[in-house]
Amino acid sequence: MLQFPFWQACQNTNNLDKTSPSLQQAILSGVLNILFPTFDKTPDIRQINAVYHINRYLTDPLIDPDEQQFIINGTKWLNESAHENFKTDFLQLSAKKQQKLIQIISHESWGESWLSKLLTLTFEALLLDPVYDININECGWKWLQHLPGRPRPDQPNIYPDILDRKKENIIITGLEQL
Amino acid sequence: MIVDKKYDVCVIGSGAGAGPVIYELSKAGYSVLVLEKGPWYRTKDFSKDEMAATRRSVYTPNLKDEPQVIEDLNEQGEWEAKSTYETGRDFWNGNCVGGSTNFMSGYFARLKPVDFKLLSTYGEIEGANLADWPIDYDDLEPYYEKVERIVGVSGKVVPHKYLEPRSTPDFPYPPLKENIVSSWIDQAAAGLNIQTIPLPRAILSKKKGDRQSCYYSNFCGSYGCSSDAKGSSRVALIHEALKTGNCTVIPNAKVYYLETNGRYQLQKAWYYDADGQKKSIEARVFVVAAQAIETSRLLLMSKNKEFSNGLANNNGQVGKNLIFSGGGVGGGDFYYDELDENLAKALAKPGVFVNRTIQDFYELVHPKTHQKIKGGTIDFLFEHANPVSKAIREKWDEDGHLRYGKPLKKHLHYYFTKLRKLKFEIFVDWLPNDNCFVSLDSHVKDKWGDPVAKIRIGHHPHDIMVGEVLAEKAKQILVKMGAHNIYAAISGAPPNNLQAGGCRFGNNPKTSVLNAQCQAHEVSNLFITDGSFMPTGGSVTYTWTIYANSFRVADILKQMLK
Repeated sequence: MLQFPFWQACQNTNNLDKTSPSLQQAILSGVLNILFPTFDKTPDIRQINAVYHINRYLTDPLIDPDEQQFIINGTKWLNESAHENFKTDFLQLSAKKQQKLIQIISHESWGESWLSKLLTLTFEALLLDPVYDININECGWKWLQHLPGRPRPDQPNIYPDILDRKKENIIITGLEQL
Repeated sequence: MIVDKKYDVCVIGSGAGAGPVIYELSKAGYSVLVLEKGPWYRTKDFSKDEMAATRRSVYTPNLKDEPQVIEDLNEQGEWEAKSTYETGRDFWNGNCVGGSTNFMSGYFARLKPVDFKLLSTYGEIEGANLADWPIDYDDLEPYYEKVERIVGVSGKVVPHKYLEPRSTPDFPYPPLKENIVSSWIDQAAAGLNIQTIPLPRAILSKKKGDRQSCYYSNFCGSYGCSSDAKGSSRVALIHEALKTGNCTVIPNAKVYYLETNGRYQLQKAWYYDADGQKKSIEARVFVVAAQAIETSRLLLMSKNKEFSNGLANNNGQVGKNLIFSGGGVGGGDFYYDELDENLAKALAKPGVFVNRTIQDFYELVHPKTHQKIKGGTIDFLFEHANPVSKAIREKWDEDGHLRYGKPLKKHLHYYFTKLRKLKFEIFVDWLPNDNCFVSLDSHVKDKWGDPVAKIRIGHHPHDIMVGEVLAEKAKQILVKMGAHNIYAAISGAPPNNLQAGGCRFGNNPKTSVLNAQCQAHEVSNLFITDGSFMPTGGSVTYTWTIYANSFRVADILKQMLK
C-alpha cells in the first residue's frame, strides 16, 4: 500500500502545534477503523487504502484548502474532546471509550460534519475504480456486488490528468485533429 | 495562435442551443467560429469513472476559480447571498465542447400547444410573470421532427390525451430495451386508470453514420457516452459541421465581453484563451448560447455607452424571469426476496432502461377554485448506479443520525444487494416571478477578475401545490406495485441542470429582450439560442425544445446572411 508522509505540507502550524502529523495520522486511522470496522470478512480500511486516499485528498491542489484543513483540524479537536471527556489522549483510550467519544462528537455540529466527511472519503476509497490505488482488487465492488460500467477509466483519462485538456490552446478545424 | 479572419457567424457556447446553428450554417457554406469556454473531450476520453463524473470538478469549473453567488431565503425570510465556493452548490453544467448535452440522460419530450399559450389559456396567476410565446407549437413542430432525425430520438408514439400534433407517425428510432419493471408500472397504472407512455430518449437504438447504437452501460446520465449513441451536440452536430471545412472551434475560450460599433451592432467578441490572454474575433452575426445564467451574465458584463446596463438591456429585462424546471423526486424500494428468483434477476438486470412517463395530468383542476390549471409530467427511472453517491445517501438513518461502524456496513450491504430503488421525477412549470433572476455580484470575482453571476432563486408557491398533486399520483402507482419505503420530496429548490429564461422573447420590446426570431430587439446581429429565450418552460425537460428552436433560428439566419 502507498503511504504519503505529507500531512506537514497541509498544516497551518499556528493552530495545530500540539498535534504532530504522525499523531494526526494515528488518530485518523483510529477513527476510520471505528467508522468502518473489520468484521465478517468485509473490506476494511487497509484493504480499501482509505488512509492513502485521504492523504491524497489532503494534498490535492484542486481541493478547497479549507476543506483539507478541516479534516486535519478534526484530529486536533477530537483529541481535545478526549481530554475534556476522559482526561487523556484519544489514542490512550480503551476501544470502548474511543467508541463512546465518537458517539459524543457525532452529536456535535463540527463532529458530525467531520465524521460525515471522513465517511464520504471512505466510500470513495471503497467504491471508486481501483485505477486510483483504492478499492484494492475490487474488494469494495465485490462485497457490495457492484458491477462497474465500461469502459473503465485508464491513463491519461483519470483525475487529475484528464484536466490537462483544460490547458490546451488549440484551434480545431477538422475531425482529424481530434 | 492568431485568428484574424472575419467570420460569418460567431457562436458562443457549443451545447444544445449552439449545435444546430453550428451544424446548419456550416453545411450552408457559411464560415462559423465557435468559442467554447471548456475543453474538447473526445469520445475516447470518456469512461465510466465516478471520480471524474461526479466526485471532482472535471466537467465543471473549480468553484474557487469560477464561483457563482446564490441568493436564497434564509430562516428569517430574508434574501441571503452566499458564494458557491462556500456552499458547494452551483449551477454549472458540462463545461466542454457539446456542453451539458454530453452528460444528459436524454429524457426528451416536446412542449405541447398549450405551453406556448399559458397566459391566455389559464389566465393570470398572482405573483407570476406569465406571458404567451410569440410563436405557436406549429412553428416549432417541423424542428422537433428535425431533431428526431438529425440528433436522433428513439421511442414509440402511442395515442394519449395530451399527445402533441406530429408531422410524422412515429420516431425514426425504435424504443430502447426496457427492464421488467416497466411492465409492472404499466400494469399498476392501468389498474388506477392512468395511462403510461414509452419515454422518448435522445439515444440511438440503432447505428447512425459514425455513431453506434446504445450498449446499455448502466452509466448514462452524468457520463459521457462511449458509443456516441447519446445525442450530444458534439457528436450529432459539431462533428458533422467540422466535416464541411467551414467550422472552426476554439476550446478553452471564455468570452467575457461583446463589443458594439457605436451603431447598435456587435462587431467583436472578446475572450480569454487557455493561457489567459485576451483575444478578439470579428463576425457578421453573433449567436450566444452559453446556458441561461451565463448568457445573461455575459450580456450584463458587456456594458458601453450605448448599453450602460449591459448589452440589449436598455429596458432592464436581461436576467429577469429566469426559470427552472419545478417539481421534485420520489421513489420506493423493491425487495428481491419478495420476488420469484427469475423476477428478482430480471429486476436487478443493469443497463436496460425504465423509460416510462405519464402525461395524464398535464392539465389539472385546482383543488380549491376548481378551475383548470396547468399540471405536469411524471417520469419513472431507476436510482442511478453511481455507487459512491448511493452510499453517501445512506449515511444517515431514519432519525437523521449518522450511521457508522457495524450498523453502517450491514446497512450498506443490505441496501446494495437486497433491493432496487425505483424513482420518479415530477416536472411542473416553474412560474416566472420577480424573485428569480440573474444579476452581477458586486463583490465576488472569477479567476479572470470579472464579476460572477448572482442568481436569486425564488419560486412561486403554485409550483409546489401542482408538484404535490402529481407526486401523490406517482406514489399511488408505487403503492399498487408493492413498493416499500415510498417517499416524495417536492420543493422550490431549483435543479441545477434545467435552467432557462433570463432573455425572454416576445413581441413587445419593452417587456422582452428578443423578438420572435430570437434576435435582440436592440442589436440586430445578436441572436440568443439557448434556453434563455423561453418565457415559460412547459412541464417537461427543455433540451428537445432548445435543440428545435436553435434549428428554427438557423433557418432564419440562413435567410438573413444570404
